Amino acid sequence: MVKSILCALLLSLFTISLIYGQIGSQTELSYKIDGYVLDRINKSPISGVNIQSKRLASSVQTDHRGFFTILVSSPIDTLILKHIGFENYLLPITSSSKKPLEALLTTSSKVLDEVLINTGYQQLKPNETTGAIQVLDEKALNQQIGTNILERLNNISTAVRFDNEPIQNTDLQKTNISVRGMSTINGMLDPLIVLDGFIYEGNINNIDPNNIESISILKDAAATSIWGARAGNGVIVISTKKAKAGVNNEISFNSTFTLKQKPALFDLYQPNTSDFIAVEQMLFKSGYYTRQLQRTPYLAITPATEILYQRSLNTISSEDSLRLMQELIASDLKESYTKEFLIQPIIQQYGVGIRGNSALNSYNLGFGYTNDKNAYANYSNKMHITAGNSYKPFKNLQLDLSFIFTDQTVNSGRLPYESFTYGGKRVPYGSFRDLDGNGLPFYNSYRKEFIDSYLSDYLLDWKYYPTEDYKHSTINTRLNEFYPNLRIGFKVLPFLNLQVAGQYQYQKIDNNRLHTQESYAARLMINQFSQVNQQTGVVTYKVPLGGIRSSEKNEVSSYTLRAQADVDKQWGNYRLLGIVGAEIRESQSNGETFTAYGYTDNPLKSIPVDFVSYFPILPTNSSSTISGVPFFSKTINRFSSLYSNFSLLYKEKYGLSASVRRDGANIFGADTNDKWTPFWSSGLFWDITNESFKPSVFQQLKIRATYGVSGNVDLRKTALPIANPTTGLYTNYPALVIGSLNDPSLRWEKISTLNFGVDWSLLNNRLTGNLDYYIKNGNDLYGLDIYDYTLWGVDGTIVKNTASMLSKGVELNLNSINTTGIVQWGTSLLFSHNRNKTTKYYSRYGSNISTLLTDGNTITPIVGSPLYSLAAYRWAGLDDKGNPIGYYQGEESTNYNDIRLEASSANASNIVYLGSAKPQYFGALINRFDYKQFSLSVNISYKAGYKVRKPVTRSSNLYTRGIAYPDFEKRWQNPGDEYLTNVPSLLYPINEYRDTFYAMSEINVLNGSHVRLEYINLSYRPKLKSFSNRGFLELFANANNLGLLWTANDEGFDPEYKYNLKPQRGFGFGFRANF
Amino acid sequence: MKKQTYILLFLPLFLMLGCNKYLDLQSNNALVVPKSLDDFQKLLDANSFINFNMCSNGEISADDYFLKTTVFEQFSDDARDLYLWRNFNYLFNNDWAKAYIPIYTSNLVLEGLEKLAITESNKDEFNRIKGSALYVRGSQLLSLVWVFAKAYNPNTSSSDLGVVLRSSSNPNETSKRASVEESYNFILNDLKDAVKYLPKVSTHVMRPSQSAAFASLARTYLSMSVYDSAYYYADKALESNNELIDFNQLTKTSPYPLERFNKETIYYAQLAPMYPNIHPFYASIDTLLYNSYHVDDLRKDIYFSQTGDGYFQFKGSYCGSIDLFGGIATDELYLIRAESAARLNNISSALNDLNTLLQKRWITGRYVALATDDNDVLVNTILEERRKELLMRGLRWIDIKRLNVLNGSISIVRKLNGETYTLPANDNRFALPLPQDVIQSSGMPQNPY
Repeated sequence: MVKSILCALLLSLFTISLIYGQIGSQTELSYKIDGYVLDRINKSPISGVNIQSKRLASSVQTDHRGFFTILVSSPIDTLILKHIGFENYLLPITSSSKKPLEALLTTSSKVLDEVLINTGYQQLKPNETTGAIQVLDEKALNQQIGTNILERLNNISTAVRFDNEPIQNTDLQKTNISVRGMSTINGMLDPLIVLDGFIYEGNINNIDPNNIESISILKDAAATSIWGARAGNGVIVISTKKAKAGVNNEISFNSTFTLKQKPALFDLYQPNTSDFIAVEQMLFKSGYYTRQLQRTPYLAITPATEILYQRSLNTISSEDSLRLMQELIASDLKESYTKEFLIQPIIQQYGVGIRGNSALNSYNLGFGYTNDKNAYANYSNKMHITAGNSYKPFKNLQLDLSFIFTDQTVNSGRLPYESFTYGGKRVPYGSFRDLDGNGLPFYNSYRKEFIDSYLSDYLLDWKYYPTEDYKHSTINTRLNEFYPNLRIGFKVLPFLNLQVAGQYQYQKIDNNRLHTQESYAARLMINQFSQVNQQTGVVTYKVPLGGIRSSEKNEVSSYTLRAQADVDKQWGNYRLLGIVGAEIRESQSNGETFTAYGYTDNPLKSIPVDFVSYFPILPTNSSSTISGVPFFSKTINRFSSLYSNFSLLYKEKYGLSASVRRDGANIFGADTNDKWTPFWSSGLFWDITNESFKPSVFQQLKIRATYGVSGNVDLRKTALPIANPTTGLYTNYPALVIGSLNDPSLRWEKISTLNFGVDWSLLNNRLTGNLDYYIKNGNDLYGLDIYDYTLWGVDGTIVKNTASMLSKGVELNLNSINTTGIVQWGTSLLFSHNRNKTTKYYSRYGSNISTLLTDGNTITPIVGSPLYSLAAYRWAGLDDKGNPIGYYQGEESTNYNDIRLEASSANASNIVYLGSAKPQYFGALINRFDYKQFSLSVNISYKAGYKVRKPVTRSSNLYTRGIAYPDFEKRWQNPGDEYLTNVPSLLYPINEYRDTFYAMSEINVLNGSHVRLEYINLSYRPKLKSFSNRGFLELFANANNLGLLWTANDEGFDPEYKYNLKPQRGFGFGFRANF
Repeated sequence: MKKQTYILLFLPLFLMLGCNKYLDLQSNNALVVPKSLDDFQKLLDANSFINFNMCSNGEISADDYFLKTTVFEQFSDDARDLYLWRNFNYLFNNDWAKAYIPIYTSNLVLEGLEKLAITESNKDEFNRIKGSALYVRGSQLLSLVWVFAKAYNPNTSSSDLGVVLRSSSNPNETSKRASVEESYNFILNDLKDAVKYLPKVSTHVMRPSQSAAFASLARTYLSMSVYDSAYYYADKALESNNELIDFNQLTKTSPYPLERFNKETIYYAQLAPMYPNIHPFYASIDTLLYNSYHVDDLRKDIYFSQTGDGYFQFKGSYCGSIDLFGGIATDELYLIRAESAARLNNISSALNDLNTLLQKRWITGRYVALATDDNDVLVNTILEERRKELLMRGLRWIDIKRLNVLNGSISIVRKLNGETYTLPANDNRFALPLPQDVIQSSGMPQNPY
């Protein structure tokens, strides 16, 4: 199938080229002119210069050595030489022009930094496009030193917003970034990542940030619609460093060494030990543990509870219990943890790159190495190799071949602090070692008394020794990726280039988890599956002695094949620039997992187990099978697309663009007609710079307007009931379970975007920038509809094309050069405003702001409100018993169920809408100072126009999981406290409605606006004589994640890391060098 | 120039021709759009969805167990409200939602079968699947109607609110509550149709058989107090399996003395584990009920074990585990036949069934066979034994309800922290409320309370 398409493509390409070849010879161009073009200053050849005859419309370009050959119709003519970044040059031809002509171009003062925009399908100059596109070059990307390329976009781009909240639905979202806000409600949320012209679905960490030349962020419809159905969330086009014609041979080095702080566990709130123990005493007295200790006496309880229990049984004296309690109160588990497990995190990055040219080809070679050791002693080693070659075997034919190879190994380290719980309950006290320095067991699942007595002569030791265990339970992950890329371009006619391109990607992730027999995990499982005959003393191990090794393999392979024609044709004042092409793409993923038991490394062996039978599990006697039966998965997604994008330019003043794309996908369960969907866009620009009436203060002024439609598809959503294979419990019969409901009415989501933009350059280029205003309209968006689950009770909600949303935004990029002279001071202001709201939501049963009583991290569509927004109960203080008071029918009330019911009714007055839960204004201020060879830049980011709900203590969380928040310390304890605090008393038994009322009341919603110091970057470029003109050496130091400078709330509460671990501060040092 | 432009235009056309085929590849081999008989059988074999969703809120509301205050206080609001018959505000996920999973699957299968042709070679399989789907739908609706509607009362059943009788998988069909009478008729139709299509015996007790359908019919009729039909169908069901386990052969000390899929099991189902209330680790068995077992009655040790606080927890599930049995076993059929016979004045038959059962439950030789000709004594003894034999199987709630329709004598009393809560006989709350979100989204009437 694929082959036949490829054949058809190649065949048609050759046919076309043959025809064109013939046409070429038919025209009457009888005079051949040779020449070369050099930079006037450094005399280096300039490639890609457009050379046009004044008499004829024909044009050619210089090759990588700056040479050109043009056929003209008359011996007397003038050639017009144009190249971005240089002044236009007129080269007269006389009949005596025999030897090659020389042209010396002067650098243009008009354009400062020439950037090439890469849309993935096309490389364009800024004056050739109508779209809203931001390009970040290597210099901008090097402002930050992270190991993830996307993270380096943070705070240097107006359109991209990073969310520090954890990802809610990993099916819909892999990265935590959004381009221009939301354009879907329940669809895929990630922007499309394009690497060197092709969709990249590998792990973003596989891309070496030090090997990136530039990133183009495609924002409006005219820019993104070329990517069709998956471009609704914006497109980020990443271009790696490539071999370039006309660039001198160079070698570059870079190295960065980053030290990070250890995580400050202090940020993770826990009540102090004596307060915590007081709560445990209250629970014990109230009988909270009675049932557990009577019915399931083997299950773990916290150390303080154990002391209370032993005291209640009178197995320890009151004096002993007091002493033991005092010891607990004096201990600090966080401190012990930090001392025992955390290490100094270090990241090292190294890179070498070589680029060069020879007569026929240009090449590049890169090697990168990253070693990242985090605070939990989890370390990864990553190696990147990139290579590229651009080969021109004969005129008009160009072959580009490149590949990226990544090899990464990750070794697990130690468990996070949060994992140390007693039956799921965290405690603030305890220690991992005794006073003599011996590792202590941690009774996380079973009580000591039980472990010491239960079948202890027959079973393995059940104790968990955290100080040793991580050495015996390890996870090793190895990731390999190979990403080759081939492009064959054939210049059929001066204005027509045909290309066939293909990309292949293969990524393999091997995940091996090994619990040796010494590990707690292995001993636990062996014990649970042991069968003990106490009469004979025989122990049957259903899970054999030895280690447990689990293996998980995932392979992703994808290919894309593309045939494309590029047209660049000039007639007089008109220029037509465009592409038309077709593409097919397949992405396949295969996975398998299995577990081996009785595993030992030496001798290398494993022992078979019975995966089928149900065995009684000690000590509960429930029955279970042994997990780890081999499992396989395979998905193949296919897409095919036809696309075209054309711009018509007039005198470089006016431009008109149009693009159209049709996408198809093998959506499971869809009819053929539903598999195809068309998208289009169009736009125009007016470049006033080239008008005679341009105000002289402007060096550049360009106005753009575009409109277009793009889409979103979620391949999981289908029109037919789809079943997943499973196995009947106990019967092992093959079985099927309906996984998604049949809904014939589901359609693709559609997003239309209208964009207006202005680009300017003022006052001798000292004030440059651009401003974009956009309106995004999303229709047929997937929405969760609460529904009458009397139909199918697996879910309480159903997905439908129920919603429409409107989002409006402004993006401003303002760069100024404030001072020139010995100290150069430049400022960049990035400002983004995005306001979105649900405009339609066809929930059959209406929706109400009471659904906004959430933590603000889930999308809740309410017509007229932002997708993420918050509401809260009105608050009337505490009563004299420490109960929170709300309103019911206008009166103060403590009947929380009534309050809740009123709030969910129409026109409720006891609930208030508070606004967006995500920043509506955000951006950064970057100041850069240059003094001699020193350069300093400081990035301060801001987010504003949103609310956050502060997490508060809920009794159920505190009692069962040991989780509390700082409001715990201000809780109502004695009559009169109601005048001093807004935090209700702690109650037992738990009253969930009361807890929820308090947590969701208006007093716990704070203004989220804040200013953060992101990074400071200092660099020094010593002047060294031995360097060629492109060579340099740069030494730099960087400090990042420097913390809050200001918050709108006066509690010093960090709205982005809500009483949680903050990213550690990092301090990096390094150098970059080019020879 | 024109020629070339045409060719350029043809290029995409080449692709177009190939592409629809290119896109026809199945995107995930682990996904199936169920179409074949084989698929339908597999849908019905997903037993954790089909067999494990019997409603449990009735048993939670009934009186074979109690909660100690300390246990009660640990529960969620919903679980506490349910214990005190006042859970009027609960939402997804719940018994109601779970019960409609097997009903949806059955409807999907029945609709799918209509699109397939019956041939000589697939006839048996086709019928078995059709009978199974009908049985699953009927028996699941029965468990719903027992919990969410009033007991069948011939005088009021045509106006009493029943359950939603779904017979299609169409997601756009609105839910309507049928009357109790319509509900029972629908269930009886399904089960009687199932009898026509099901094989006499099934390959596994998780798959319905003809005797399972007979047994469910017997249950249905008994809950409607239609004794002759109850007798008839119990008798039919016992034709293919009338085995009883001799409790003398079980190990009393075993954590779960009764095995899963034991020989009494006719159809294996489990109560949906929605709330901890009746979980053996939380519930304490009613002390009077425990004391009513004679010392020679083996069930006293087979069914119960003492907990640290001196009370007793249940360990006699036919699931052989902590799970609670919600299927049908021969012991229940003996008791249905006995009760029906006694109420129909067939005393000898009733005595025979009762004594046969109890002989297997007592220490060998200790059981003195009951002999009486007093019909009331006999019925009362059978009812007492029925409670003692069939506890924690989702039957007690409907038994209380149907017996209250007859003579209104059973009310339930709960004591917590010194307070007493009473559910008087025939109270409206015996029809448990539907989930609030279902009421809200469907506009159906809620049960009065």
